[in-house]
Amino acid sequence: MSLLDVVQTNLEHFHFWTHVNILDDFVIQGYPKESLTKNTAQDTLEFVYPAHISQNLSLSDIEGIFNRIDRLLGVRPKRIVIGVVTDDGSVVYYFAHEGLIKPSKV
Amino acid sequence: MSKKQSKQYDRPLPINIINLPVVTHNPISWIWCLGSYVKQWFQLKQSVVDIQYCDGIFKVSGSHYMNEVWNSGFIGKGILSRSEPTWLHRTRRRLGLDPLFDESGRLLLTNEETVQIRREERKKFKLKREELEAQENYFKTTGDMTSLQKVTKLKRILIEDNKQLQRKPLRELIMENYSVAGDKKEQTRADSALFIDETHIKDLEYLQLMPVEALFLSFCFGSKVNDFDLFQLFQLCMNRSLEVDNSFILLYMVYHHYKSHGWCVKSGTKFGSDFLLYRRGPPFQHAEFAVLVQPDYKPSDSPSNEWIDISAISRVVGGVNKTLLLTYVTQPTKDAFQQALTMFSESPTPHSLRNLLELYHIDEFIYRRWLPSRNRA
Repeated sequence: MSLLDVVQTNLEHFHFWTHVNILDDFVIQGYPKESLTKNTAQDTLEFVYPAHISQNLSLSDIEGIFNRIDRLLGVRPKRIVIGVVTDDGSVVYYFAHEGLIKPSKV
Repeated sequence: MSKKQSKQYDRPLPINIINLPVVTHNPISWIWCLGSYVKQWFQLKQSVVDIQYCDGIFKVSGSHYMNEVWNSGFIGKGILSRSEPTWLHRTRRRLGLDPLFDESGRLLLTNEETVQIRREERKKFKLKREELEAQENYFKTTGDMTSLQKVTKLKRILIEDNKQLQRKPLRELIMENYSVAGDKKEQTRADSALFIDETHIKDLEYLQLMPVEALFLSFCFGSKVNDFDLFQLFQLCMNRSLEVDNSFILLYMVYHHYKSHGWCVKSGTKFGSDFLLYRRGPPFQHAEFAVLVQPDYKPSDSPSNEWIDISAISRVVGGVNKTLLLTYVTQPTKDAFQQALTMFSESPTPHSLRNLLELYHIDEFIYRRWLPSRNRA
């Protein structure tokens, strides 16, 4: 199983995302069961970039992910999710935004 | 904790013992004893677990073997569960294939399902509270004091009710709010792909072992990983860089150290640390300690924890009521390491690995945030 498969399985069968697809062999797109943050609509398409915990992701790597999605779809997402695969089999997720965003009320 | 669960988890390590009944002068008891021996011997043979290594992952598949490993010391993690591999059970119930209650009416809930129900309740409460708070703010600005008092009272009642709700048995909550099994649930595309036939679904879950767990099972209990001998497995875990300060060997030393002192050791990634220590195991209580492995000097292939990192991790760990442990691993000289390694490669036995590991030494410290104004006692 590649990192993409590990994260896709986790999204579909642990977090119950729908319409989960691998895009251009580098990022996963899909709809979460419930919106991930308070201020986003239920039907927001999210992009998940799988990474291994031992991997170093630089700022330019992350910018590269935004650029590639932009080139592929012609739309620049507001944020991406990084799905970090650890060596005990859990996947932990983190948001990456371009620039500053207003923190939401918890 | 029910009796059944205590019995399920009665082995802290994967050691199986044959229990023989009392033998008396009566020959019937001899036959009884022999029968019992043979039966248990066959059961023991079925509990031998093989580990598969593929695509960089150590796996145990099949629910019988997964439970065998997880029940004896909580080793491994179900890839689609929080810890104990329960995905198949949960999914069958979610798809309406299995009932929520057993024949005697007992609720069969997994950890994940309990958490989900409690979280839904909490979310409902938060929404209601937010609504009331918005009203409060509105009346504050308009200066309508009588309405404000009314709303504040409603909010107080809501908070009181919520306290009651948190103590309410899950059984009642489910009966009131959730559809009981038997209902045909709406299926997503991913769900429909699971079905083999009308009543069977594929088991997508396997138990994943951390490399330290795979080596521990193989080294101490003779589990086979593919057809590797112990040295080949060790090389694989070390990522083929057989250096004295390899980060795997430091992690393994710490894992084995706490395991041999009777702690249940799990991954600490979720709290920014290397390991979590449970007094008995995840079904019984929360982890008490989070462990950060510290080399005695900065190794070539491990990121260093500067004091700022340690302080940040300490705040995370403190926030979930755990104590931070800094565990220092003192390394042997390169020569001593090389010598023991050569011996180990020539005879890949547990004994030679033990000689190698015994060259390392472990010290631990508790790290605690200290505030001069609040910690005067």
